[in-house]
Amino acid sequence: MKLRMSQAVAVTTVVVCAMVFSPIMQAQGTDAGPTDPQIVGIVVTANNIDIEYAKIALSKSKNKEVLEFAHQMIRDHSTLQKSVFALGKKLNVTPADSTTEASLKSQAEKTNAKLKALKGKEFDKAYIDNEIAFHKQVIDATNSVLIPNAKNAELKGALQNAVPLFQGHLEHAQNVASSLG
Amino acid sequence: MSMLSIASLLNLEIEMFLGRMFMRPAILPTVALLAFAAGVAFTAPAAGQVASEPSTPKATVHKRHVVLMQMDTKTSQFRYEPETVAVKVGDVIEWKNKDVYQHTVTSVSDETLHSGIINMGKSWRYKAVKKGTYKYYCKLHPNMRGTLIVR
Repeated sequence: MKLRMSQAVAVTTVVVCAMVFSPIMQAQGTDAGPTDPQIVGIVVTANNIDIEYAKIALSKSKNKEVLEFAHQMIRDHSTLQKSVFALGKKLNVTPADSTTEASLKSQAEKTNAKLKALKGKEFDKAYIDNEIAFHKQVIDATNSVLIPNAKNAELKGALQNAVPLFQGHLEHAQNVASSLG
Repeated sequence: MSMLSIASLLNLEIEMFLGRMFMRPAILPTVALLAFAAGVAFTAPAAGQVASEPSTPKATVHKRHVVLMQMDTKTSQFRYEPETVAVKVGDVIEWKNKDVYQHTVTSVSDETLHSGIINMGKSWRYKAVKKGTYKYYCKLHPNMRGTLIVR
């Protein structure tokens, strides 16, 4: 058990550290910020990543709070995804690739593999800790990189309105983490 | 003709008959039959009984309050609107989800308010039964908070 716990802590640490040096935040340091199509691409990818994390949780967790949270992530991020695509279509903005988006995908693949290697309480803790770190970084990146660089006012407004959703997810994840002990 | 119209006509008939009821007792069975058909319950005063003045009980009017759950696009915040609602015991509060996301109405520190998930476009009602101040939040998005005051 001790080994499992230490494994979980190690994975959580890796995941959290990975998020601290998040690819989204790296975009902040570049001279030219992301373009509107790249911003849309980053949001779409971030949504997909969190939906994938939630699907793993649904297949592995037996904890009621964790399962409810995962179901919510799929619902909310799918809803957000639809609105992002609808806005992109309306503004004639096609999601574009960027190094940030590619890094996000690469990072998520590693996290997915680590989460899949865990089970039981160790998985629940690692998943929720990752969700806390992920949403913190998404909030920071949205506020400090995506919103300031968005050229289109409607896109900027949509990003601003997405922040309370991410904030709500963060606080929900923190409550679930408290219930896990 | 709707059932309501039929009932109204029958009521009119009944009133006309009742005015002559004691003069024409043979009509009584017809009246009873009509009343029964109209779904109207009434009690004819017994012989010698003096009908008392109809008392008008002091009616307590309970209000219905509506709280909207939605995104405030001006402040970019999930909100219960109004954030604080003050009601009286017996009043009914209805929370309407006008957002594109699911929400809940969940007491912060007890089980008073426990809506479960309220889907988009759906509502949840609660009848205030006990005085107090109840802080609540959305369990799914805990940054969404409100207060119910029952006086």
